[in-house]
Amino acid sequence: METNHLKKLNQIRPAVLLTIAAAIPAIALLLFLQALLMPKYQGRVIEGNFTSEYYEEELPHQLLILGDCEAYENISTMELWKSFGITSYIRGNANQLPSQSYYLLEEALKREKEKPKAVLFSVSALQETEQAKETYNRMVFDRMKWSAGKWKAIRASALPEEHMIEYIFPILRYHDRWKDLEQEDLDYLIRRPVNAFNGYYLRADIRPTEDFPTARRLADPMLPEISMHYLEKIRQLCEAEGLPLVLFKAPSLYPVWYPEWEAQICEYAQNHGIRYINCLEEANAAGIDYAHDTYDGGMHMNVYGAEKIALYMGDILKAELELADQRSDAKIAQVYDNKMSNYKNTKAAQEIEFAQQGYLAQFGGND
Amino acid sequence: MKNKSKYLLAMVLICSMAINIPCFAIGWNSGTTAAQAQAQNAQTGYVFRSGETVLQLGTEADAVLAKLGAPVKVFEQDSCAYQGKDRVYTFPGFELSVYPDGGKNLISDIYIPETSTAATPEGIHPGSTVDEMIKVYGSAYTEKWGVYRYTQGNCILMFYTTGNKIDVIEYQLTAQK
Repeated sequence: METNHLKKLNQIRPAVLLTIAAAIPAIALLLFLQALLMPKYQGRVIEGNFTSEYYEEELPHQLLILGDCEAYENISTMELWKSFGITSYIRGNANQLPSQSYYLLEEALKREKEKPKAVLFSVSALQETEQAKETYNRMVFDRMKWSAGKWKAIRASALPEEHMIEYIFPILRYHDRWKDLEQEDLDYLIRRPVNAFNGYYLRADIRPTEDFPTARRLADPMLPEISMHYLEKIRQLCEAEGLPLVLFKAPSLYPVWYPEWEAQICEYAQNHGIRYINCLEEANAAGIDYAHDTYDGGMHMNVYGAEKIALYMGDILKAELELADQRSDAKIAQVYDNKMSNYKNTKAAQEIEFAQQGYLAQFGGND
Repeated sequence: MKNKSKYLLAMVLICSMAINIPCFAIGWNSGTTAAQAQAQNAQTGYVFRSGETVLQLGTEADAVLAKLGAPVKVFEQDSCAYQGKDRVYTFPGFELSVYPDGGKNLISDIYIPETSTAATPEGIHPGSTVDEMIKVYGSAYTEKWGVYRYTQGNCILMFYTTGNKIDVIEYQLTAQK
């Protein structure tokens, strides 16, 4: 009996080995095609890499900042380092929902080499009930490392037309891109450069504030329940980790930040003993000049505005959260010296281009 | 040898199925775009009229804008990460919001402010009463915070009120991608 069993196994084994040998190149080909077809985000839109750029960080961060573009465009992490010695990282993405901020924070707290000292959350995204476009979810999740948190995050924010299998096998989503392939798809097939500065998106162009549409009547004065649910989860996570949470409103003039929402945030902050810094109300105190410090007419700060906000916030955060000045730590200083050098070079290059052309070509400023 | 071939064929078939089933499960074609879905719903939604021009949510804006003529003001906003430009066109009596989808510009919102003399095709305008509104549109509405909502097709017709008086009227797309 046993001999027959062994005989059968010996008969099957070559077939199995052959099949595996045949499958390996097929799988390798699929993986190559997947890597080729996935967007590289090295042109006008660089936000699609923001989630994965975090994984390149070598050192821990004292301050984690969460939110959508109001977070990653309005606070200069390099200014926080330069002026205060505060190490920080903005885990932000375009149209990042509160649920996504929660899971990215959860992931960051597991990955940080040392526990951070504080978390800063940008409140503007609380007004969103659901994701506006599938593209934004793809930017957040496509290059996020797989974990139970990623699975839950996708389930929490996926639109009806999205399928989990397309996140597991992105080639199923991007197979159509074969006709839109560009040189950058080959250039950055294996590795993509880091474009943000500890998550900060640098723009040195200037477009002064203009008129905005009249503020519309608010159909529902309450911030969406789902958003407040995830704000509460973020608060509870910070509490469990012994981390102070600070809420932040950027000095963005549009979309409108309604007084009703402001009142709710203030009440929430007061009820939970949370510091809330509204830089929209404090824009004057921060020295914001809307004729100079914005690159899109007042919706987002450029680098000049983001540096002013970092200076204004840095004073408060350093004093109230006792964030240590780490400029005297040689190992940290060496890494951040390199980052500062890249930051200054990028800023200078953009300034020259803007002075010469009146726009930044990479960001389609001539549109 | 015969048995070996059989087993080999079986293994290859199993591997092929393992790769192909997920593809067929969701369909290689991603299906209708949001623009196509909106167009399918558009025909049954509420419409607004400006003179002879019919404005329907989810339909293409360019032809409508050509008929409406020069707006009083245009506001443009790049959506986050340059996923198209949202635009708000101000015309006498109303604002028209347009968003990009699938290479087309679609109507997403029509807003009739408090100071407007414009009216819905059914005759309700800022200043009308809630009772007049119910007489025209019926009682199949939802109301919250003084905002009455009627849904038809892809359109939510919203009446913002203070007391018994309508202040603002808005046509809003039910889902915008």
